[in-house]
Order: sequence, then C-alpha cells, then structure tokens
Amino acid sequence: MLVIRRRAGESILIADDVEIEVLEITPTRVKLGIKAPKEIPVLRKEVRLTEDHNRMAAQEVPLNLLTPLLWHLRVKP
Amino acid sequence: MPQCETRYFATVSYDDQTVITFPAGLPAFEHCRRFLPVQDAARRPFIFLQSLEDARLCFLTVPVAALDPGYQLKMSPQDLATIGLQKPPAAGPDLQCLAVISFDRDGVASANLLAPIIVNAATRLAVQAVRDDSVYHCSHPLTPAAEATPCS
Repeated sequence: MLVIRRRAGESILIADDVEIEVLEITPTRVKLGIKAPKEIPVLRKEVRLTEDHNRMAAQEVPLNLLTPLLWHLRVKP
Repeated sequence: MPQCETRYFATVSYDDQTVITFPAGLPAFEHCRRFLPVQDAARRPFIFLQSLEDARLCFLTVPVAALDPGYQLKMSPQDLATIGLQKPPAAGPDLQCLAVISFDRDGVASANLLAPIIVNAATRLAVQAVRDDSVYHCSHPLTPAAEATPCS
C-alpha cells in the first residue's frame, strides 16, 4: 500500500483525471473532496460490502436451515 | 385484492397497504422499489421481503433486535429524508429495523448489521441505511462457525 502524508488543503492525483483533496481533519474524521469523471463510480466501501452481501442474499435461501437458526436468535418464536 | 408471484410461497394475495417502497432501491438492486413483507407463522421472527417487480427476488430478513437487543441505530440525514423523517427517530413500533440475511455456499448464515433496512411504518417508506462507522459488521454470524449444519 502506498502511504502519503497530507495536510488539509493538499491533494493527491490518481491517473489523469481523479483528484482527492483533504478538506478538513478532525480528531475522529477526515473530510475528503473527490473530483472524478462521471463514469468512475466513487463509493464508500461499506456500500460495496452491502452490495455484495445483497447479491449473495438474493440467491436461494435454504428454507430447511431456518428452523435450526431460530434457536440462535435472542427472541424465540 | 392484488396478487403476486413469489419466490418461496407461490402466488399470494396481498393488501396494498402492507407494501413497502424503497425510493432509492437497495444497493445492487436499485431498480427494485416495491416489496411485500411475507411472514409465515412457523418461521417467526423471520420476514421475507418479496419484490413485486421481480418474482425471483426475495430477501430473508430478521428484526435486528432478535440478533442484538442493544443495537444502536444510526442514520444519515439523507437516509432519514428518504423515508420521510427529519430527525433521528426513537426505536419503537413506528420504525422497523431489519437485517438482511445471506447464506454462503456452506449454508452458513450471516446478517448485515452494517446496513439495516429501516421501515417507516407511517409512510411505508424504507431505506437500506448503510452506516458510515465501523461499529457493526456486514457479515454478522448467526451461528458459530463450528455449529453450522451442512446443506443436505
């Protein structure tokens, strides 16, 4: 992994047309501004993880496994 | 009464009032907006969310409280606006919080606590609210790995 130190107001460039600027730094968060062409999707990683989980969830649900699962839930049927 | 084809329950009749609408769709399924919650008594508290636009699409969900009674809901202002709310709601009967469940190839189930489905009972609007913190995981195990039963 490439590691670069930046201060607020400084940027990094990726290829010819993506720019990521550090806008603001607080003790817990960093605010980034991203300039990229429309065809380059920019996503929070959590959204991609949820897309992947949803695609997997859309596959066949093994209904026979649901009853055993009920025992692991805190609220019993 | 309208009817729809479902993935697991053949054809069901439903009341239009029970349909929930995701104005923004769900991540990876943005084109699917209208879902019918289907519950069957033997499998409570599981709730199936059957797409009304695609009979083959049905998500298995469970109330988040059944997995983690202490779950702390957190929603962005944008997600709140999507379901017609202005301020963070108090959890209660007006707000349903569901976790989507998936099964891997070995039949091991996991629930997405990173992005619960939030249903505003008053408006029947829903959103899959992806959190922006790392407090909860998107593959929360429902069973300890060692206890997973093979699929056969």
